[in-house]
Amino acid sequence: MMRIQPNLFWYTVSFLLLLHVQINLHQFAFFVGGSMIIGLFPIKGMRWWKFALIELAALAACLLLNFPENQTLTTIEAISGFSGPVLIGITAIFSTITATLSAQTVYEIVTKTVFKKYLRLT
Amino acid sequence: MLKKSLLLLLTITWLWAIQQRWGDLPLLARFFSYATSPLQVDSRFENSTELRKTPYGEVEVGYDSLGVPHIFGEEEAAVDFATGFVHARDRLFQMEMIVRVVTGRVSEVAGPAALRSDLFWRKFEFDSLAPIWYAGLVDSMPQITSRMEAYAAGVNAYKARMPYGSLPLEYHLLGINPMDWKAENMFYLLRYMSHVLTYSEDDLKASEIKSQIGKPLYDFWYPAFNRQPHPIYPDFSMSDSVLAALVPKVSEQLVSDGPHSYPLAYVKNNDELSLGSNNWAVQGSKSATGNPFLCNDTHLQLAFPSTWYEVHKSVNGRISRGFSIAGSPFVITGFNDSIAWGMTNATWDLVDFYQLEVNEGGTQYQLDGQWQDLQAFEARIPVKGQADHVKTYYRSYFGPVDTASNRYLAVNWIGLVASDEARAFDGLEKAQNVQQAFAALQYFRQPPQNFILADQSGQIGLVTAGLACLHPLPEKGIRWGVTSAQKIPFVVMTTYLNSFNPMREYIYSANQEHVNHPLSAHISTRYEPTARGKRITEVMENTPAFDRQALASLQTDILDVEYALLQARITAVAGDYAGYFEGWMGSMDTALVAPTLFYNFKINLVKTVSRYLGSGLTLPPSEQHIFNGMALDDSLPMAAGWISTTTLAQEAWDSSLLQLKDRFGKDVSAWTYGKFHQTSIQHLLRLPQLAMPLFASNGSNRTVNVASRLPSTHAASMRTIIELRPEGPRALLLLTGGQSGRFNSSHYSDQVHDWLSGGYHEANLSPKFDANRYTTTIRFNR
Repeated sequence: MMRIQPNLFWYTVSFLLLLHVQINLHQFAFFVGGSMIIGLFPIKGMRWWKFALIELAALAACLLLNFPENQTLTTIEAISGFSGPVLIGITAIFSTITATLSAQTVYEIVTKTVFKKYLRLT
Repeated sequence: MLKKSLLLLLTITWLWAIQQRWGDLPLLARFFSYATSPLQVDSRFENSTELRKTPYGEVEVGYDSLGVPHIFGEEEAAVDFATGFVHARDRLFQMEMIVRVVTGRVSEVAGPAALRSDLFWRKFEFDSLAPIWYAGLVDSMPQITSRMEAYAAGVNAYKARMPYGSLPLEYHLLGINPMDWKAENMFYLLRYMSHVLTYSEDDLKASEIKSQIGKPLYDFWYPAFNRQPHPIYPDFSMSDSVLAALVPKVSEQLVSDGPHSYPLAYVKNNDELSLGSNNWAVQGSKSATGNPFLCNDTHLQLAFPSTWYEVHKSVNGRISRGFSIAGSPFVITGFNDSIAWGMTNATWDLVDFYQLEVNEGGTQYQLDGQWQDLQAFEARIPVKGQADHVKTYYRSYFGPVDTASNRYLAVNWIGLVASDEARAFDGLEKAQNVQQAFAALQYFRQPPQNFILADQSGQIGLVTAGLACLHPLPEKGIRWGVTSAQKIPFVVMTTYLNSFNPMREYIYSANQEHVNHPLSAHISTRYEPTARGKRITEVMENTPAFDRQALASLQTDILDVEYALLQARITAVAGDYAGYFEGWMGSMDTALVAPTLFYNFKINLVKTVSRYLGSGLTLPPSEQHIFNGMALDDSLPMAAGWISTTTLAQEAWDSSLLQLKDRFGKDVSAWTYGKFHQTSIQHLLRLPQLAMPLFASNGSNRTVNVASRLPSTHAASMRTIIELRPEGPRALLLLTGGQSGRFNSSHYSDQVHDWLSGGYHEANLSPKFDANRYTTTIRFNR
């Protein structure tokens, strides 16, 4: 029987995993893969907005650790037509939707279904 | 169950949708996911001290305050490895784009806008030829290919462990990852430069123009000879028998069967012929220090990043210093402990088009009285956002065949010739005197260059190295390709065109004709104008002893000597505006009005002549030929008969004034040259956000300090002033733009101001690695 860890533990692991993927593993597939792994964690009472919050927290930490250079922002602004804050906002929305959908789908279809017998997740 | 199914469907749809190309948008999954976002692009890596592994010997690299790497190692391969590493670090995207251009793979990442370029390059099949050429070089010159291998390993070593923040922004914008680097990529670089410096489809246009204006007018306006030559080798002589032996004895025939047009032909028009590299060397007897000097400034498209990349290499204490091109381990123009070298383009005609006689099915062509198979091959070009583009080409004895204007045209271009310039540059890096440099240049084939040489012992020399195509019939146009002898072979000219330690104590080249001899017409039918050559000669003759300052002055000289040629014509038509020319000698200075009046008059003179010759003339006669005619003749032949040069001058002047009034208003004092003549430095991808806005610049397309086109996009891309002292060289250098190709680097454009103001930096030639002198260091250990 798997030993069930408290939710806070899994939240922390999820946060660190997404942080690691986004700072060090610069491929979209890794990001989606990392999000799916989070969906496998046996977190009780998980909801989609909690995945979203974890990703947003990881993104905030990424930006704190590696805030975009001013010149980078202004140049991408000039090329894309989006202002810096809007650009960061769009990036946050895209990343959050991707992470949330990937994690929630795995959580609903795999974790809750397959592990239902063993884990009292809901 | 329904909820789970819908969720799965939504997730799959989302992941699919954001990985599709939507119009011109970048790949959303990549651009807007933080994991792969361009927001992570930063320049902090540039100042970090690094320790790296190498399969070769130990190397230390120190970057100075201009971002120039100083590379010190005991073994040559180790230094080449580090050279590849620093090139990739600073110019990765530029290197990739050159390979993509020459292999016809730009549309794949840039979309349909690049398809024309890809269609041009694919017919040459360089992606198949380069590995074959490289394999041949591995067998014949393993010591050279080992350098190329080490260099490629250095590029790939950087790429393999590149900090994500240092991935150039262009990769993010195009949504691609850097390609693996191969040793044979240097062949692509050479073909790219050959294309820039030798390729044109003027033959197609010449054929078209002959059908438009008739042969007599064509012969007058597009002559094989310059009426007032000012050659690079004024003392050249060649006996008739040697010339006869050099020029193939073949009956060349030009195609002249009725009207046809080539609207897509890549033509070198007057603007493009206004390229202007200069190089010269003066002997110690003509220098203030008693030591020889060598100077070079190469004229190329101004771009971010620049074509050139400054580097200082030291292999076991033996230095090679100067300008390299990212993609090659060699210093291309620069100096070592004992000699200096530099180059200008030879501007020869090295492209021939042959029309084939093809059977009705388009499957065979005539060669020496027999039908030969046209070998068809398909080029499948992936195009971003569209289906693959498929085009059929053919292989023939005369070269790759394309169809245009219902003709089968084979092209024979020097780029298709196998060559090993790497051997020449390896030899130059190691030469100890002018004689050894000359020996190394025997291996140089393309693009043909005028190499200027000087050595520590006081010798100077000029060698025009490379292949030429000597046509028995010196006339542009499409040639018939029916017999195998009609394909004119390329011949090495290095032995014939050279001069060492001339009596006049100096030697120079400025892209003009090489000799005042019948040979000239056989090599090229369209040299560049002689104005710069005349000005350099004038300064050389009038300066008894050169020092660095005098040489720098000549490199930034802005006197247009064509004014002297046209002065009488202008004075006759200027009327109320004549006052602006009083006391003016042709100085193309941004603060003056006279240069604006003069330059725009010249432009309108060309337009006026072209208009009288026939509408829609896409390849106007050379400006030099027009101006000589205007200065020396009373009337000139046109489509409707002879027109007086006074009439032509007046019409050109009137239309010029109208244009200037429209553009700048009626207040003539506002027509300063700085408003008329501006320069722009563009980005490789033509992204205005990464370019430099227009700025006023001195000079013209005829001054030694060249700035050609309006707005000017081509000018001196680097400058060197090198003194060969007995105790070792010293040099002033300048790179137009900056060392780094990364927009957020402090070395992206930090030398532009110096370039504009005529500044240089002293080349640091410290013999040993000294960490205190550098802003950033990289150490490589086994």
